[in-house]
Amino acid sequence: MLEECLEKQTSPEGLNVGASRDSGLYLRNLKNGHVKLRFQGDDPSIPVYGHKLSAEFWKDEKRQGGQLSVNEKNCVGSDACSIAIQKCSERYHHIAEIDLSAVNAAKISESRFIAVYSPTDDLPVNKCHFEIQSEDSTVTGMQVLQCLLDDPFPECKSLPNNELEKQKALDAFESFNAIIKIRCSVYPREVPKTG
Amino acid sequence: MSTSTQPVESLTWDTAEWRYLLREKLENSGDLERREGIQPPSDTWENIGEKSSKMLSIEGVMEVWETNEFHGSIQTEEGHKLCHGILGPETGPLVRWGAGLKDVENSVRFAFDNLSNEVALEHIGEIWNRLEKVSELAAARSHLLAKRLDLPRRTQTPEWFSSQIAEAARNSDEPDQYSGSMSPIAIDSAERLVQAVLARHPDAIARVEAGSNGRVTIDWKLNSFRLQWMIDAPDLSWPSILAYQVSHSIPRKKGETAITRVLHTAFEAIRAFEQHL
Repeated sequence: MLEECLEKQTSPEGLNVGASRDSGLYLRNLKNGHVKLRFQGDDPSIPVYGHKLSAEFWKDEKRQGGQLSVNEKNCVGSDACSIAIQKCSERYHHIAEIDLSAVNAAKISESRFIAVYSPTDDLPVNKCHFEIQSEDSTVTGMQVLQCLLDDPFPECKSLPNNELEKQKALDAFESFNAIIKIRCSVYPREVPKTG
Repeated sequence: MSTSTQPVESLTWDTAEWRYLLREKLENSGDLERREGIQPPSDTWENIGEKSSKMLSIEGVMEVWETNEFHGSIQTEEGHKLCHGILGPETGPLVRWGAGLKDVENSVRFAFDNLSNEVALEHIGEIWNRLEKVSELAAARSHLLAKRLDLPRRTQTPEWFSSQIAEAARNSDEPDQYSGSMSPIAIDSAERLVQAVLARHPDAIARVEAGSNGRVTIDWKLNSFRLQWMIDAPDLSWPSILAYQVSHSIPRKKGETAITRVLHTAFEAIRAFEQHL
């Protein structure tokens, strides 16, 4: 699958290394611990109110400082290819699709968020790699994004239990789905042979 | 006489700060002689005098003498007003720094937008280096000042902090090259800060998690506000801290911009906490 994905990569036209955009769709590969239910108690297989990124995810955004490592959706072609070209791909299972226009339209920060084109030469080669960052700040810029995507805060320990609360939760899910969509178990794993 | 030949109309005026101070004083007292502290940002006024500095703006004129006396005339919403007073000798550097920093900020932006990448990087690097030195000066002096004050009173570590930090530490132990553990120094700093907040607000409670780069995140829900501190290992000892703060309404209002700030002492953090109560 890796070879197929590498062949399919279509590097963004007319974009030099280091050039930036403030729009577009980007895929972020996620490990199991990076995803949690937005509402505890929701159905884990088909959650009504969806998922959100966990503290574990933001903790892993570590030594990259204030950047979020992503692949451009059009370039990489599919969720599975985004994971296939990732180093240690066996650890990744899920995808977060980030709509950068929607992030900026939410005006969560005084400075806009941009995606900086930074293809990697290391194997496997990744012509689709970008880094999302706040244009005018590093640590607090990413912290603001974390707070936005962490809604609802404080965490809901139980599912909404009346129609009004349910509708509010669905509206919130819809508005966050416009910014970030989390898709689980998108990478086809080979079934280990037994016997 | 004036060394500047630039016509007033062609200058870019940024006198909001000065006007605000002056109007506030006009409205509040009408008598400036007993009050200190109006210093126009020097770069936003055209200096046309020698023994005295005469400064013009679209809104008015002001003359400052070597004795620090000043006379001014300003157009306000209520009409034309005259004022006079004495500039406090110590107030200049206390007021002017904001305008100076704005210039620095503009220089970074200008370099980024207009210079070649190499030259811009070098230029911004020079500025950054100077700012780091200023930052170090501010850190050292703040620490000296903080040590002269009574240390913030602290209480015992609450159970909610201990249990959550233990849970976060367990999660941090994943044998993964991409996972960092929380810094013991950051944990210690976070614990002291929580103890200090609880000494004043015993019922306060927060969510505690591992943050990026070994930091510790403390998320307070305060009435209708969320206040998040991401606490880093500080270079200086308590009550110095290094915490990145984000605050916003709960629920976040549509189009609301989160407020960010970097906190350097426990006093600052406690003040920020209490401002959001």
